[in-house]
Amino acid sequence: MGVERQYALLIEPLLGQGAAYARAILRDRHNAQDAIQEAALRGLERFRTFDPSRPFKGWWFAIVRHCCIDILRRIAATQTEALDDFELPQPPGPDTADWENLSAAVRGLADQHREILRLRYFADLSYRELAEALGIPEGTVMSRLHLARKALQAKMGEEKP
Amino acid sequence: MIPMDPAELSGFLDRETTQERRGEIQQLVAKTASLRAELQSLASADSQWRTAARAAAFPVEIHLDRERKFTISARRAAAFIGFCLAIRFAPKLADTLMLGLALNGVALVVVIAWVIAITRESELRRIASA
Repeated sequence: MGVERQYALLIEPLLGQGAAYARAILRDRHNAQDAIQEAALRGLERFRTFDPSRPFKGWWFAIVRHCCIDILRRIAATQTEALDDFELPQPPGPDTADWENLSAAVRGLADQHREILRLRYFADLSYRELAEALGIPEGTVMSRLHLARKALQAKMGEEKP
Repeated sequence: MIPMDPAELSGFLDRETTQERRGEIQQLVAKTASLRAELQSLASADSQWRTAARAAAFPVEIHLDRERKFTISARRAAAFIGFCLAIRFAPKLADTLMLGLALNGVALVVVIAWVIAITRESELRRIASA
């Protein structure tokens, strides 16, 4: 099996989650699509150096993350948009008040907390994959994620009228 | 009382603890109201996040063909060679013959470029859909 085909087989099931994750960062569907396209190509270029003993999903999402950051930088160079202004995609359904509350709370989180939550939920990464994507020890993942959740809870408490 | 790091509640929620530890935490949660409340609160936020993630997902089509530039340059090279040949042989040929040759040359270049593009595209499509 060729390298390209092997790589295509590996990323194919991750594209939907990749799109959701990129969209959560970039807040724009077209930019998210560009980020995924770029990540797919960058991943293919680096695939020969990928260590199969490491989790592929975490490795690929680290690339997606960097592509999103590059796009954010490009946007920032052309616009005066705040890079840390984060908006959750609005889900279909009636819970708009809860939704706005969560979205506002997320905006108030520290970068590292927001990042681990995005990767956990939008990319659906396991703890091992989170460690790979964020370049942190596996043992740190659980505590950082818990702190992020607690910080989010606290922010949500503040946001509630 | 089984000692528990508060972060283990997250591990429990995410099913990232060992089976044995999971059982211990389950017992502890059943006994302690404050832990139950915290777990419930974490689970509620967890569910909101998952809804957001589902709402954000959309189908993406990707192309693993950064080498597209090569296809374009092949087309350009073919056009350039065709043009040079035309210049080289033009003075030696009658006007009508020259026109016919030029048209054939252009057609050949287009066909070659088209075949290259189609071959590459079908190969990439095959890889992506595999």
